[in-house]
Amino acid sequence: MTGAALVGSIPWEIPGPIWLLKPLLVFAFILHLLFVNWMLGSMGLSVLAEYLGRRKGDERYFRLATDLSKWSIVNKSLAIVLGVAPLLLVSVLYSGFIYPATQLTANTWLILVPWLIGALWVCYFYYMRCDSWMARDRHLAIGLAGTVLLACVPLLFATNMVLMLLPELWWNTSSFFQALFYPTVWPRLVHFYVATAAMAGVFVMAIGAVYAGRGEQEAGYTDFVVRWGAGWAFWGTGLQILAGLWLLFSQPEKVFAAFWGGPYTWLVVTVFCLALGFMLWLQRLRTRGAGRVWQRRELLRGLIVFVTVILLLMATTRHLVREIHLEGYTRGHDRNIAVLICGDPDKEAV
Amino acid sequence: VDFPVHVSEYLGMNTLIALIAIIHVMISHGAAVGGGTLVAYLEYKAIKTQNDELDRFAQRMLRVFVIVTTTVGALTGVGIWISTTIAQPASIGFLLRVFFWAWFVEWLVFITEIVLLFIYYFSWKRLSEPGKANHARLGRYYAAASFGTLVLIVGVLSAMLTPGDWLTTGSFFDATFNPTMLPSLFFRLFLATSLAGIYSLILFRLFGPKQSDGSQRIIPLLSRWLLVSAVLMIVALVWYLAKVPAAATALLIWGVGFKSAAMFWGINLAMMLAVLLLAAYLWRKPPQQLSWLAVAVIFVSGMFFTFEMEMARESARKPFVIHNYMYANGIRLQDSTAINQKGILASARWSRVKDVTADNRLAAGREVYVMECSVCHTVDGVNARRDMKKITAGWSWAAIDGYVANLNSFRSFMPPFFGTEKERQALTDWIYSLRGEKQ
Repeated sequence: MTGAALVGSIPWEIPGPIWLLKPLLVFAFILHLLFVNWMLGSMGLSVLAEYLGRRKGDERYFRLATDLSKWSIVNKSLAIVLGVAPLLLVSVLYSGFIYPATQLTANTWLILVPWLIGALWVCYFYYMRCDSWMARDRHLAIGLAGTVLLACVPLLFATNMVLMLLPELWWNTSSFFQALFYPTVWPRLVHFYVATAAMAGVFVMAIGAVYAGRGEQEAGYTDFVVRWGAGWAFWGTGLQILAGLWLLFSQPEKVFAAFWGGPYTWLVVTVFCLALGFMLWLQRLRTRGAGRVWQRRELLRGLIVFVTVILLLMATTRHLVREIHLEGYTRGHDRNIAVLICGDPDKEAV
Repeated sequence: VDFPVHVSEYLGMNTLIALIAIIHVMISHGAAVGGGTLVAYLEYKAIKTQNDELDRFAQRMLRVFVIVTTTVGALTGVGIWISTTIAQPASIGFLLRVFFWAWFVEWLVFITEIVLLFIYYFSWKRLSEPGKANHARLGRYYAAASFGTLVLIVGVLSAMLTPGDWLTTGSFFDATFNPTMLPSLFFRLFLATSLAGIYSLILFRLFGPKQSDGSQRIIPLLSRWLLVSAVLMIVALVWYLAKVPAAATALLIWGVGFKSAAMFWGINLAMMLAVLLLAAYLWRKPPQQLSWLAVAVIFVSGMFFTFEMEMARESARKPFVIHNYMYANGIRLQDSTAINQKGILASARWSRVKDVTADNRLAAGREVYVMECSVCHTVDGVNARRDMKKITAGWSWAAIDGYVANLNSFRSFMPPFFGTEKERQALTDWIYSLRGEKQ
């Protein structure tokens, strides 16, 4: 069977103009992903902070671990609920692609539900024992277990998002573990995990910014939190540039060509420059002399501007990758999408 | 027949969906919609009567509800989406398009609900603290947002059973405001508050304040809440049943799994009466401490009733997944003639066998089973009533074939067989072969 013959469709109009729904998907998706990064990142860094606090005997790490574990609870719920709109939009706009990909990995999707419930319970338990069990082995072990359980979940999501782009491989795909090793899945995952580290750094800095508004008595803790977060954001962004290049070079020829010399080269160049700019800004913060007071407004402004622009451009890039992948399959299947990407076939005939 | 079919060997996907959905209802209704309303009410009462023990109890209740709704509640919601996508892509894909904007608004309401929930939870204040009245107001906003999520989803669910004018007009508003929308909204709202009342009694037994003036005033409060909710729910249920097509009502009893109507009514009325009487008793003559037996009777009845209602709602639609539009196996009414001419195997994009030949009869038969039956049926599955092997044990080949040919007349809740005669016979061959004998 050819891939094109397997792409089905839903015989009902797409409920809105494509020019509205696709940007909505890009926006809703990146908002969801940001909170997914934060949920995993705040959990992971919470455990790490607890470990460092124990090794260095530094109470500030314990306080940060408690702050982060509390926020990880909120981030998790928001990540889940923010997932509704992107799932809704991707299901409506790409029905013929997302449904087969989901069904081919069905068993793993069904396991995801109890898996995530278990993971969240572990994380709640970790949070609720922050006061009484801080720095104990078992508390660290629980936190680590929660982080690992959460960290496994993106494997399925990334695999599904890649599998939906590859109809030519569907006929011989029978399980998630097979699809997990399809081309670009692992570079994509690495790009996600490194982003999580960078975004977790951003989140820690945002916590620092909140404390920055609380005046003199919190100055020491604020300084510690901002610098620690900036370190994660700095190194995370640096690594992310490399991970992004790896992902770009792992793309199939037609996608790679579009971003490397093709019409979307400007995106790659712009994001690269912005990432470097972000790193420079972070480095300036990191090397600032001790004793200077952090300004909440200054920190938040920098974070919001850099992160919003970079994320929106990266989300657009990701969307374009999908569109280029599916170019050959959409004609005649899902009319609305076909018309948008390939032009109206009927009009061409005239 | 445009998508692959995932076969769930033990349960059947439809049973799996129902199980996930039931857990979701128990939590989304009981702990979120009803729980949010009840906690907000208890906090209001605590302020009004300056009952500090009630205030602390409401806070502890909220903690349990937060943990349960944001984990099991949220994830079973995702689970319904995942499992319906896997089992019924054509149906869910269609519903997502028709109700797209309702779901989009639902998304915004969900975000509001979650944000309010966490602010409400993390900012809880003691009675003596300043800003307590504002905090109580936040609780009401949270309850309102939870109710909003219920309103939107009820429109979708009720339209699947009673589409009303929607199938002819195709209008989103006709779909949402369908004939059973209002009764099912009120039924679900009071089911939610009833469940919350039940949970609150369990939680009170677990960690409520004991042997004090404050605690003496809490039990009547909770049981009165339960009693009023349950009575209103029964009224809404009667209203709802009056609006549901008669054929669907008849299916309710079968769908739940009772052998006779007398047994169905006997057990249900007994349970309902037990809950009402116990609640009334606890309200008028509050004991020093709740007995586990009373709590257990109320809890089991409540869970059983919820289970029943959801099973019944799922089966009342049969043989359709969307009434008069799409059968439970994803085949649209309007495609059935074409499928009968062309054959199901040739029509199904993902069938591994495209034609019945002398050599592939069993493989073709199994493929027909996968495409048309496997959403509900299993082979060697846990539920004997859905197990093809057990159902047809001892039947002759001709009996099976005749049954398949007239499915819808024998069993009004099953879709008719679609496909060519050759395909039907191949299916019969395969079903017959399940017992391990040669024909």
